[in-house]
Amino acid sequence: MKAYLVKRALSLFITFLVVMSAIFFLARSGADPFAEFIESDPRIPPEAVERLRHRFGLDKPLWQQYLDFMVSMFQGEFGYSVTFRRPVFDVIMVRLPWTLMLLTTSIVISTIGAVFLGAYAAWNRGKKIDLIGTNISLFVRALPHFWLGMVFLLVFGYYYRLFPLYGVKTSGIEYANVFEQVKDLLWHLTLPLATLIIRQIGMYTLYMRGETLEVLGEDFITTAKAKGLSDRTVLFRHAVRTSLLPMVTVTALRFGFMVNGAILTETVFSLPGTGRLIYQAITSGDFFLLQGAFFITSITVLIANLVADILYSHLDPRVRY
Amino acid sequence: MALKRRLTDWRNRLVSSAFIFRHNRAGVIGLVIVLFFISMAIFAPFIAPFNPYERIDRSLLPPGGVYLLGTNDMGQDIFSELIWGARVSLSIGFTVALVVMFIGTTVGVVAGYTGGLVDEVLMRFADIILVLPSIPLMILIAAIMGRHNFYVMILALSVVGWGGLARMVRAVTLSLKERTFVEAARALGASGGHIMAKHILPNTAPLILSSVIYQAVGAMMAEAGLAFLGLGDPTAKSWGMMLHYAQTAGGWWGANGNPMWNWIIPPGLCIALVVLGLMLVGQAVEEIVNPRLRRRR
Amino acid sequence: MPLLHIDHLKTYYKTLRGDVKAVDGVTLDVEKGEALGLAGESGCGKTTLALSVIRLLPDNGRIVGGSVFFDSTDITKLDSETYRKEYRWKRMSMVFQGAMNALTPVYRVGDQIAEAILCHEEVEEDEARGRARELLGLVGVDPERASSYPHELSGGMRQRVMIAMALANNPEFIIADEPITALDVIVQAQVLHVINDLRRKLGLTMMLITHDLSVIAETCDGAAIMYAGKLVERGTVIDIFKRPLHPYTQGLVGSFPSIRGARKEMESIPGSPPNLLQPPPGCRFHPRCPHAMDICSREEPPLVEVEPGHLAACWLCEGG
Ligand SMILES: Nc1ncnc2c1ncn2[C@@H]1O[C@H](COP(=O)(O)OP(=O)(O)OP(=O)(O)O)[C@@H](O)[C@H]1O
Ligand SMILES: [Mg+2]
Repeated sequence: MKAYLVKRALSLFITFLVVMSAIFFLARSGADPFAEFIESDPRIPPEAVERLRHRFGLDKPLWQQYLDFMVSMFQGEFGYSVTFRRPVFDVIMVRLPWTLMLLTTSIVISTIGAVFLGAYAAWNRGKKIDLIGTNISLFVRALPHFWLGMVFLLVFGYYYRLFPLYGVKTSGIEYANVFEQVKDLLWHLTLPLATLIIRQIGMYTLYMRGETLEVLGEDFITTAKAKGLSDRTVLFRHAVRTSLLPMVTVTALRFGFMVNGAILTETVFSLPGTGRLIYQAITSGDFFLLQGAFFITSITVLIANLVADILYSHLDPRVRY
Repeated sequence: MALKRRLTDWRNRLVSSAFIFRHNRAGVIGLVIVLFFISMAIFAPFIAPFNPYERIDRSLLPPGGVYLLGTNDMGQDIFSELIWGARVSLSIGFTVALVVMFIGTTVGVVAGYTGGLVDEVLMRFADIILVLPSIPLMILIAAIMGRHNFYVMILALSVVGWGGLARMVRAVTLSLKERTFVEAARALGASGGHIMAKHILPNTAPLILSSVIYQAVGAMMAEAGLAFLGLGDPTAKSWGMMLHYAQTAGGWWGANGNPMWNWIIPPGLCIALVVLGLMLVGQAVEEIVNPRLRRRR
Repeated sequence: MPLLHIDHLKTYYKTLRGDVKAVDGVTLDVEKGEALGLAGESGCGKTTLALSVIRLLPDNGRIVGGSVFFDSTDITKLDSETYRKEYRWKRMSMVFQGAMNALTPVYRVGDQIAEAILCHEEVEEDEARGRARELLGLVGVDPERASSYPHELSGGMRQRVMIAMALANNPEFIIADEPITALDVIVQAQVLHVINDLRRKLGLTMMLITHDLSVIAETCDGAAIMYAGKLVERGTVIDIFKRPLHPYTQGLVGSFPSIRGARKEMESIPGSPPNLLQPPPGCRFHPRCPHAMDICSREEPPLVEVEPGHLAACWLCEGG
């Protein structure tokens, strides 16, 4: 099992290196990173720009830059964001918690929801409840993330005024205590989270249902029933427990997909997250920021994959290679 | 003679497939939805009352009267935009699906058949594509290529889309490789390229065809997301881009501070319906191709 | 009263093309302490009969007529909760056909046996685990294997674990459905030995389903032969092998060289078994029967006791 995990970790690390190199070269294959910056702000004297170039090593040969880049990335030195006028690391760290919170909360809740709903639908295959459930999830799967968010915003934000329209906190508010603060935060995050969770439940419920149906046809389910276990025990302890394995793999694979969801949702609800940051970095040509944001996103996704691998090897005794 | 037999064989298969399909009510409904939108795309110039790229009245008019869904911030008819949007969204979706099919199949067959280092490298790339979030990758590609272009969209969408298909085709190829007819062809001295093209490819065809529909779904969804972020081609407005403008140019405040549901709801609903239709068709096709799935219902 | 009395049992499977009459009016007794061998060609309804008794038919299977009396209680009339709690695994259990995949892959085999014990008895978990280990020992598996996962065991070991699991709650009656078919020859002999041994030690009543007549000859007291959803003959092993009455049985025994001889599959009767969607009228064997008469294609022969304890369903026997 250890060997398996080491192998997986190594392969993820290689993936990571490839991705980072790709980003390095892609980002530099465009225009001069500082050109746009200069264009957009003619008041900056050329000497200052040159100084900056020198300071960030942009006057060195490309291979030198590449090596420096790799080394400094791992030291957490992502360079300087020209749009935010602050070190990239600081910009990212302010925003990362929001995205992580959005992602982990929605992944956990939607996975649990999908496991239960999918298993329940599979157990009741062909019955009315199953048909209704499958059709609803199919429809939810067809809804674009961001549009679902817009509809929520329109209905619950504008028309019913139940939830705020943007941001993560009421502006200008002084919190009396932590409880107030958490309440305000949850109030702001309800709609974005609901968007992400509902969409993902729609996707995974069908998947879980399929996997559970497959498992329910296996011989060991007959054995479990034969032993005299109750339906619930057969379903959860034997069928669901076994279908969880492919579910874990898929959740890991879909982590990248959820980052997409985060970017779009952060845009709709104007949340100060990393997803939105990537978009801003690219559109404003702020390439240190871009590298940093990509670094963090890739690392997050790859770590999530590694966690899934570890979880998998704990859940499946057959993993021994 | 052989050709004729092959043709009748295909026809019989098609007829029996059509039979199964007809009995899948959801599939038929899906097909009707998809055909509806395809005709909308084809006949857009005849259906749409106005030119969606032309200012025809004041901005941000409410729905009703001459303008079924009102006008946007540029004084363009939203209903006409919606009709024309079908063209862009569908053509991007299907084009990308075809490109992805081509890349994914080629990579999958080559990796599976050749094995060794080639396989290892190709699959590592497929994994990277699969694991990484696609939107940042696409934004990056679009940004590098200069973003205001229909073809760049297709390129970006295709680059991020082929991973899953390649893996699937590779798996099928691996199992086909062991089968007797392939071994026989190899024993007779057929070249690798010949075997891949003549023996392996035709046998992966049903699987690929059914997955193409899902590729189109994925492409349309991704296109909508990208366009929503403002990375679409402004001279070819898709539904996603309509939502981008609704989000950034007045959909939320309208002419008098009220949000314009008539601008926000319809484009997304169209995307959802087409995607739903395609998924229903995809399911039905999958059941024909893979009878084991029929049990699942 | 016999321990198990199956009375005109009919079990059908609903399919798109109609009802498969897999068990169609079978009457069969198993005496307390008896080991009954049940044989018949593939697809004749042996497994279906067993699953009807243990009430684990697949979703599309239904008992449409007849009853099953276990210790004088009609278990087909019991509600499923009572049956689950009081009968299945507690008083009768089953070793399933093709048990290679019959253990849940994610749990240790000892725990899976213990689960059966805990389900029916008020005991501590530790005690149940201890008993699981004892059971493993009983079937000839190293008790240390209790902490192995199914994939770590060989096919023969897994089959023994299944037998141990069937014994977990000290049932009076066990059905073993082709317990050795999927194993290789040496392991077959070992598992068969275990079964034989246990039966003597524990005084079990048993129904052994198999393709292999020599297994019945070696292991069982009584034998029953099924053909196309019907019971065609029932008697002691000696009756069946020495004085087979039904032409189908005669064919089977004839194609089976000798009791001590090499094992052989039953396949030498010309023709193939009928489609159970629309079985032929009259005696179901008549299209293949060398002695077929007029009446055979018109009327179904009843099961009659030709000599004490030896029953057959054939018009030939009816006359004399
Ligand atoms: N779930 C099912 N649905 C429909 N038909 C079934 C089902 N299970 C079994 N059958 C049919 O019922 C008949 C009896 O099957 P059964 O499994 O009882 O035979 P068997 O005697 O145990 O055969 P084998 O020796 O191969 O195990 C067969 O014709 C089989 O095709
Ligand atoms: Mg059987």
